[in-house]
Amino acid sequence: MDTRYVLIVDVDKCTGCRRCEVACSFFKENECNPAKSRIHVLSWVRESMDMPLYCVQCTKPICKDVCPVRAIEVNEKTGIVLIDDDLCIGCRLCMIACPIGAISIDVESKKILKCDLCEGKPKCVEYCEPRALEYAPAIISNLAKMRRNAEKFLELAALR
Amino acid sequence: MLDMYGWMGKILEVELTKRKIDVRPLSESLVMGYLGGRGINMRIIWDLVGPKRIDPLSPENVQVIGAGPLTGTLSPSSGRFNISARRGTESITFGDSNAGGFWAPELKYAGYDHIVLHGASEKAVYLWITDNHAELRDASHLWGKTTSETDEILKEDHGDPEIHTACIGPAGENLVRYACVIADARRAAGRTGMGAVMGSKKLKAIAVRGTQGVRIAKPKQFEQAVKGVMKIYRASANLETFIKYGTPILPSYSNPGGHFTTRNSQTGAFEGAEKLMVDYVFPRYYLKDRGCFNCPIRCTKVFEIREEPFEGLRYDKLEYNTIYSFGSNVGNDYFPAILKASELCNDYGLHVDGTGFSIAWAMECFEKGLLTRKDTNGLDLTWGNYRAIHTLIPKIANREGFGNILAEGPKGAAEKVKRGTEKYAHSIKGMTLYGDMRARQGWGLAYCVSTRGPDHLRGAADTEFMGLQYSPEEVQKMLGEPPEKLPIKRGTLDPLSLEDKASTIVWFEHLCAIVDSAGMCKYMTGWYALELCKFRELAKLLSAVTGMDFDELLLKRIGERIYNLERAMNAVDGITRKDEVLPPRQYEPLPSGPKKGVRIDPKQLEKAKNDYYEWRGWNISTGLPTRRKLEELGLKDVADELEKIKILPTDQ
Repeated sequence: MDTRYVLIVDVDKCTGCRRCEVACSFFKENECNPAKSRIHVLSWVRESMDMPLYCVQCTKPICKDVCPVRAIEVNEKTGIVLIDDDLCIGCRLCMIACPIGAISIDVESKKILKCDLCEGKPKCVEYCEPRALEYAPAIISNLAKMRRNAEKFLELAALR
Repeated sequence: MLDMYGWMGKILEVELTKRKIDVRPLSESLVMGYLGGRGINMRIIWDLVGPKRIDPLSPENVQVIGAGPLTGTLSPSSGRFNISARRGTESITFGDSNAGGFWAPELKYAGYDHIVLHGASEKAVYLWITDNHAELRDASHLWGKTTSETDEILKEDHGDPEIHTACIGPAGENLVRYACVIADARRAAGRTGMGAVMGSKKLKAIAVRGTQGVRIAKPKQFEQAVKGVMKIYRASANLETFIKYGTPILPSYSNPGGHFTTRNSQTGAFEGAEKLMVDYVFPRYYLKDRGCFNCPIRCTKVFEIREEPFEGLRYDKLEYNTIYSFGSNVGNDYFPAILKASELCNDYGLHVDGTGFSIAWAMECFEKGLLTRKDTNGLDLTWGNYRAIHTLIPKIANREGFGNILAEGPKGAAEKVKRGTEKYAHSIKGMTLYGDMRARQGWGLAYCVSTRGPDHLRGAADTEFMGLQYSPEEVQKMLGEPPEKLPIKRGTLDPLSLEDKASTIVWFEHLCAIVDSAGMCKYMTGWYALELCKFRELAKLLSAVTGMDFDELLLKRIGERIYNLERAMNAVDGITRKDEVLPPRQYEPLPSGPKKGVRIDPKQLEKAKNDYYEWRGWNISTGLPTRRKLEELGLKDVADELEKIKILPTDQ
């Protein structure tokens, strides 16, 4: 049975507060600095819209394919795509190849920054107060959202 | 530079006249004496021009912007900054206003805690700050633009949608008395006219972008302190309601409480209030939540209108102030029109209370026949005419026609018009009110004695609202202070009493000074709900972030020092006890509503003021800080300056 967990976002619930970014940088880099976060919230002021983006741990990771020194591996049990900092030469090819833009670089240390899901306990999820971010088994990950949408039909049914 | 945690350690000095920019280190005496934000702003201002009387719109006026040591950290609700000046334009006091959003954290990530603005530029400029670099750039293409347009153009110009802006709208450019500074196109540093002062300096905007981190001295301790605050946050039932509705919940309390200010404070209850309450508004117009930087509370509610005449309007900044300013106080019960007014005020850079109370004054004068269509450029200023209000807002910002009169605020406008209209211009120390005070009299006292004119963000204590749910003993326990330091009695908790209020007002004034200086939002603190975080939790957060030893006692002392310094600043301008009175209408009985017949007794108010000055250790006849008090707080130099200009009272 596939018990892999995935990090999912419910955009309707995201308030754009960037608490996930601060938590990520604090626990990973020991400083409060969104520029060193592995997750980033994109905001549109006029539309009142916010959406966090992060590495989604592709099943066919192009970053792994382009890495010239094989510093990127997929953990077969968890499906997490991991960078080995000791092997990484900082060439940034993975940054270029990532179709989402979810890989960045620490401009100070030149270290490549990519979400590793905090060994199964993502800090961004722990600190997301409106629960826009969730770390859930892939199979049930979208059910809450589906239920919320289905409830609109329930309301209609009740009206009849 | 100092090796600092929490603070970035740098002050940016901007000389606008000579277009020169310098950086100086944040000193240990500043941070340990005044903490940050509002506190350090005040000390910087005092050191530069404190003992001088100056025109608020002259280049001599110094304006300072400051973030706090918690700003930009994992400490919850830490997105705030204060913008202050030696003199404001809305009140007769110094200027000081606080705002949230994302601008302040970005300023720190760019490497600075404070910005000091000296002089005035000849041409329109904006300040661009990025990772240890700052420069003044031409802003001729931004002059005349609204705040949201300015935000968009700057992001486009710099090719970076992630920059954050604090700017003025046309109101600030045209020196409207109550022009504000708007951060991130939505977040207003509203009161005291900081937008007009920025406008007088021809500074249109400050755009910031940074990639540096705020360093934490004791990460493990900090994580525990943050968890402690969040535990208190989760346990608070009061906050649960607030998280759901934000400040739009407040008419549900204030209308039954008799202080939902109505028709220019004629009374304290509005017959159309039901249509402005959350039970009516949320099912029709609420869309979703947004929030300021790192704020779990998410009090920003996004509303969307799907009906004519405001079909398609989506806006996400609407506070209780806006609801009474463009609702009850102008006799309007149509919520979408209030949302539209909120958007217009933010876009044009106008403070909602100043704008709303100015229009309410005009509407009452119109009702009484003191103003006619001849005065108002043909506008029908009948109560509730929101179309006229929407027409007036841009006219005020651009100082066009009748808008030019209203741009002076109710007091200034009445002084121009005369004809008995002065009677309907409500202000304290020149600044407009925050609602009616007759049914919450401790707030009335707090408004009177506040250092920046009347408002709810200094010493207005929620003991008066929440207190009635509890016994004095329970509140005593919740605030965690011994009775000799903070006596909580029946009168303290009774909104219709002026007795036993002084000590809680002082206590809350110090709490607010610390919260503003630390860089936290007041909604996360005991200022909003008694059970939330207070000096103890703040001390833990600050100690862990900065590595310095802050305890409750030290924080209270810093709070008291900041407050006394502010009072000294006002003393220089001749502001004393005589200025601490309420607008005459507050002494008349409420003519209707649940608290009908209630009024503030001026004799009792004077007695309560005695209590307040005495509890503060100030001179009772003038309400000014004494040498003894100033020296006790380490402000001997301030006492010496006051003595030099002969305004230091005797130690009584």
